[in-house]
Amino acid sequence: MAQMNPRQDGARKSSSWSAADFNRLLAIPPGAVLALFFLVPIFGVIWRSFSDPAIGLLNYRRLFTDGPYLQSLWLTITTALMVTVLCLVTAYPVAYVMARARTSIQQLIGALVVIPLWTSVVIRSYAWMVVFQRRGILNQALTSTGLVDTPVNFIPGSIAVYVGMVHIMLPFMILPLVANMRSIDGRLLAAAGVLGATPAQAFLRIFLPLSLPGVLAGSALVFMMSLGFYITPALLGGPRHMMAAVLIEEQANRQLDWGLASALATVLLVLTVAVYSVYVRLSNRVEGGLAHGR
Amino acid sequence: MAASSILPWRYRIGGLALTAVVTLILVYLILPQFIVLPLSFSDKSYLSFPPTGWSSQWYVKIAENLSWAEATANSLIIGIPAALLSMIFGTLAALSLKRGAWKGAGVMSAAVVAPTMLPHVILAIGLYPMMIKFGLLGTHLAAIIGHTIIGIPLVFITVTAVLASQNGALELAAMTLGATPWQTFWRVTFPMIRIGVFIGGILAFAASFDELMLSLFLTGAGTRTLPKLIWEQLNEFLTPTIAAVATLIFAFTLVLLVIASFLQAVGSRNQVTANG
Repeated sequence: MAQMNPRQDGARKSSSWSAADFNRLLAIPPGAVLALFFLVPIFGVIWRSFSDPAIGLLNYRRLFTDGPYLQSLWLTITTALMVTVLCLVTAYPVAYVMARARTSIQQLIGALVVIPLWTSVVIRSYAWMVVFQRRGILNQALTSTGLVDTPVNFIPGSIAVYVGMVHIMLPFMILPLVANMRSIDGRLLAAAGVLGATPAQAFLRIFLPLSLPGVLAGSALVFMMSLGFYITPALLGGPRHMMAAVLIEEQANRQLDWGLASALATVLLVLTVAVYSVYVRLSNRVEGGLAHGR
Repeated sequence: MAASSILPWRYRIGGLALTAVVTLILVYLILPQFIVLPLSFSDKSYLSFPPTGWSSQWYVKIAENLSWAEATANSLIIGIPAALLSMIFGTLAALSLKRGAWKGAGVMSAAVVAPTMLPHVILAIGLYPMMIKFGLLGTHLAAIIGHTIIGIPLVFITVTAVLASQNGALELAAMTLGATPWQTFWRVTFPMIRIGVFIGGILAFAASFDELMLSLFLTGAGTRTLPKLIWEQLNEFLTPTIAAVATLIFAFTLVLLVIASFLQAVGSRNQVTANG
């Protein structure tokens, strides 16, 4: 490691001037920007949650004793969990087929997974409004087939929120799963088959356990991102499915209760950072596992 | 691969069922596009699906209403500088963390990526009072700053991915042979990471173009972006105008996607030739 004592001989020659030293200086501009416009605002929110309108735990006392706020936080967590489970169940077969398919099929599925990622979340939620509204496609289908007599009010409601959120989160589950499944050696399954395992046994005993790192990384990512959802629950869930981000926006922008909004945001921040640190560790392990396997 | 032909029939039925399930899920994934597109050519003023007749009246309405053009201009005025700034800061962060021999590089990377992972509403209510203090609330600059913060991680991720495939030996060689750090960057490093920087820039622009929460808090009447205008319209009334706007935006982002995947293809081809 030449860069350990870079300035010892003090010469101006380039060989003594370590490249690593120069590269460390490069961190100053992005570090300053992120500190000023990311860390300072975030700490500002935390500070405000303890100081607005008066210094103390007033906002948190309201948050954890008043029914609606606690209810909203709980709903946020259960919704994120539900979305994660639904995403996992729908993403797994897609990733399985994609990881083992021919290249052309792989590219087709890949395109179908990536295109929604490039479509505005507002617009996708709007499309689900068209599907779920009172005179929408779903209600037309339900009434014309005689399954229901009168149109169902899906909006505002939880079903519409789940369908819309899973749609947005699905690519974030499929992509880590595919990355992990591609690294699973197909010869292991072939060997199991030769040794007499049925495909179901080979899948359950070999493929499924080996895919767990991808499952964990994808689930942590989806759960974390679901916690902060705003657009979909605000459009499709309304007051019946008030998730934390919607409540924060409402408290700040409409009720002008910045202290409470900041306290809610701080709780959401703590939750997200906790899941994020788990995710970072998990995805490092997936990458590390891949590197050691080769 | 030939094994499939000698499998018992029940396994093949299992395979068919799997194909059917996956097809259904993929249809679900692209369903919104197939709803929005026909709806935008509907002849009715309310949302009826499938449309009973065709008309281009909603596109004419967009052209006539100046607020759509104004919002699009605002989105570009905010998105392009935000993407360029993200490219600069994201690239610097990636270079520094990958080549700086930092001890806590893992934690630092996690911190740089954090702005995309944390709920935008937290950053929005944090930046709002700050922008009031700086007297920037409601200006383009306020939104540019906010969108740069969420764009930096995207550039950082793409550039880091490119840097991870190279070990820095070329830069070291250039500097040993007497190149200044500045020369090394422009002659050696930048040509290697160029494509990662551009793809990251496109991602950052797309993120800004789609961003709603920061725009809700930071932009005002004269600076509102396209997503904010759509949002305001959605909360008031549902007309096929939104579907027409959505179709135009979709066409535009599809162009961006094609450019990004073209760059990616060029990048991987270069890498193959470089590796022999």
